[in-house]
Amino acid sequence: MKILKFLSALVITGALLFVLGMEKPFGVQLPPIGGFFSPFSGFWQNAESAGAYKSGALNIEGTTAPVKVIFDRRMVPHIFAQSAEDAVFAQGYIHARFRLWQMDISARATGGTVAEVVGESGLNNDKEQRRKGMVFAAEKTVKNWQNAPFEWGLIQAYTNGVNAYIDQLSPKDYPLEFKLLNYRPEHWTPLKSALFFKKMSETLCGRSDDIAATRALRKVGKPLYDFLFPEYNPQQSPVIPIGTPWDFTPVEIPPAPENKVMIGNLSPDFNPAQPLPFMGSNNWALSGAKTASGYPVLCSDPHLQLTLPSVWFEVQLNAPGLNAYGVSFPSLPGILIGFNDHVAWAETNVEQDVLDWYAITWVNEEKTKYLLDNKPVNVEIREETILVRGQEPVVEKVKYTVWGPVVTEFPDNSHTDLAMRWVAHDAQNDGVSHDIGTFFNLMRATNYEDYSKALSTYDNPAQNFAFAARDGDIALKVNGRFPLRRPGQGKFVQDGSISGSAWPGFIPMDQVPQVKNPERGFVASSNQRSTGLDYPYYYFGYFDDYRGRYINRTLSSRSGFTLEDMAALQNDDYSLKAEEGVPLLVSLLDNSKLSPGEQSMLDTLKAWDFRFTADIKAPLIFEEWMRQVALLAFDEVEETAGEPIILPETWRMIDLLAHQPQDTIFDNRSTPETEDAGMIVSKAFHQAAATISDHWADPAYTWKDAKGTEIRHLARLPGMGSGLMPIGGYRDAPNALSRTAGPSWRMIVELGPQVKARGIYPGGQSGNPGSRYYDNMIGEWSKGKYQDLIFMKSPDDDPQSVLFTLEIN
Amino acid sequence: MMIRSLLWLSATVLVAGLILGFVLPWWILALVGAAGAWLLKTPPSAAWIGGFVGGALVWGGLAFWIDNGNSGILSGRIAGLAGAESRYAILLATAVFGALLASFGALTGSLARRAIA
Repeated sequence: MKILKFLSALVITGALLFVLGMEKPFGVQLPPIGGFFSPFSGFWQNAESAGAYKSGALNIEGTTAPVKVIFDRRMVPHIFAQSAEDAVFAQGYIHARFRLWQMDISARATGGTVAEVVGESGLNNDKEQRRKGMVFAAEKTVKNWQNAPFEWGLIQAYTNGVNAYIDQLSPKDYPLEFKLLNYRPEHWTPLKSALFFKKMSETLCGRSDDIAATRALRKVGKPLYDFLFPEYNPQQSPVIPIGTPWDFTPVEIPPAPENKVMIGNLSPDFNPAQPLPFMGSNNWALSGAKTASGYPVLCSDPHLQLTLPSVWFEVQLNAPGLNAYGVSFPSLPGILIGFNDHVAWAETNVEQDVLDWYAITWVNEEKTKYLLDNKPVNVEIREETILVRGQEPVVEKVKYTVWGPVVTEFPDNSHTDLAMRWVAHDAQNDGVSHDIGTFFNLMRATNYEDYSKALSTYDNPAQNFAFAARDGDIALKVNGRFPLRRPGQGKFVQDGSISGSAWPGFIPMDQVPQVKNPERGFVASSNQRSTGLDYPYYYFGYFDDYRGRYINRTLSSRSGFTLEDMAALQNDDYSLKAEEGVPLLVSLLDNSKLSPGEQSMLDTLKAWDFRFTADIKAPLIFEEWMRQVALLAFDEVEETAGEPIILPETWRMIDLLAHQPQDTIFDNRSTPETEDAGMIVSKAFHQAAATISDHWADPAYTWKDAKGTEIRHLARLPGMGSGLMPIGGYRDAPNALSRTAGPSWRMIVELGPQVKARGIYPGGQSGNPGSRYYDNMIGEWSKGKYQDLIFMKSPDDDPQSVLFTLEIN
Repeated sequence: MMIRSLLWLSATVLVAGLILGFVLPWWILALVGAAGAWLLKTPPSAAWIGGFVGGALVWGGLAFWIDNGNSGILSGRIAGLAGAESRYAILLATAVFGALLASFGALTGSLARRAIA
């Protein structure tokens, strides 16, 4: 009996230990409960106390001379080292200390190693990333670094710094997310840094509408396609002012042998994941003639997915010949956007298309040979081994053609197989720096010549680099490696069986669109078209039509701009789209038969100042009305289930409503009557009013609710994000805030005798959800406020603002 | 007598659990309970209750202390993650897990002694 009692207790205790120790208890995606809740080792250890940060010396090796790191009150590290390598060693160590999980998961998501830690649920992502050639591309980048001694030294020092931090971690110190997902940090490698660059390319120049455009072309035919989708918005105010002289002789492009558009059986399943649209940015630089102080001013405002941990990390790097401040990406050494004592620089994305699709004609059933110029060519097979937690590894055989990887393959031959041609797959391997080195050269630049030289090698993802110098120069280069294209080439899926379908070459780096000290006294970019039609090379892309024009109009309107004016423009909720769209829609509306509810919507719209502020209702009806007009007017390109297709751009819709209201495009084919623009606009208004009537009747529901901005955790973990944010903004206004993307770093730099800089980003320096520095800047950011950036000359510069100091000896 | 041995066990679990918890994995708390009840010859019901109280104090107490220094930032976020109403639910859950580990460990230790003796 006693034995039985004991055994029962033993079994219960054993069962308890077993359950609390289970991986994925009862199939639920949870960490082992016992270890996770233990206050000795689990999540409680990530709850940072107010006194968690104390000055001291770090017992780590890897620097050639002592390094001192001053953390200011906002947890920004100011790194003082004796060499650039030592500085980035410390930067790597600090990135890891604050953002290790973010770095790890970014590399996994891009390189396709998610399944290794989450199991089968990560397999789709991993296969897609491998098929898109992300690792293939990153390996080329590493090889290129290895051939460029300066970059290789930096990347190794950075890697060693990250690993110095990882090596002294014990499991209780692992970042929270490692504990939640129950895996341990791996060593950092240069490949992971390279994958981060490729992730940026994927986000910023991984867009292609070729397939959706080909579907549209198939549906409506060439004449209607050209009518609906003109490439050039005549109202456009391009990045480089029209009339800027091009002082070079353009490369000659041989005529196309046969530029055939493929309209084969395009797969409805094949919808390569697209980066979210509206991932834009604003930047501008004013010459002293335009500012109240008489000094040049540079403003930076990149728009990206807003997440916690934040995408950016502020840092100052100081070493002999180097003293720069700005924002860095955890995963990369150096500063991407910033300033030094002499110059400031900032990027926005160039939205030119640099990714094309080619239809493959197979020669054999095994699909190992494809047709090229009437000859069979062997594919090269790259075996991608994907580790899957709790299962056997999966081997994905990716076939490489002369174009690039065959991203989709249908074994049953039911659809066209497509290969991807993407500039981010290229590596130049010429011993010069194409990315990291560019940014280090910018960090050390003292004038326009240095800036120009730094950019001369930078290739991808292409950026609009705005520049201002204390000596008075301002400039902007639309910088990157751009394919040469024959007119129209690459807009649709191309014939991959003719080598003549290839890009005829690349635009020489010294012939990219650029401008220095323009007469108007400022340079600016907002992802709009790079140039007017006078630029000698053909290109197309996915350009902004509203922010750029509005910002150029505002900056042209006067001079005497103060730093407060700059902040106001970055935070401006005004949209040209509404300014142009609302009066037009209202003028076309038949307002004789409006219900009282509809009348109130119309009145609200008429009284609107075109600002997308948080607590107003006008944007609700505007957005829905515009959407309904597009759906009714453009029924010709209606989307069939699962087959994405492109819709005409908003500017074109407004253009047609204004100038061709009687065109047959407005006739909806599903109705017996023949509609014109007025009838469509009126019908759309009634439909829109019906759709939003519940929200309209609720006095508490305003634009902030419809927009629903939320800064989510990177893995979308509930409870770890910002929650719904009651703020204004609009994707086609300078303050380009949408549901999950928007201004990720606002910076204003005045280049006077003493550099004066302000900045803020929506997050905090720490990636730890248990830290008060995780989201401490969100509040001020959402109110449009800035922090003064502390730019130190020496470690003892500003003792007032020091939180703590670390020394590496 | 019963109360006294119960309190002795709780105190033993608290002290040994805190010390050993920092160096050994989470399941050590069950062993601490078992060893405590064995060595102190705690009767079964007192062992269960004493272990429960001691375990709750070790895990709940340490968690409370950490939470206090953190102003409840992380426990609030974990509550959001777990769909719990408040961070106190997370503190309570931590204390209960510790309590269960020590209580069943102690019960087993107590009954083991009786079974062998």
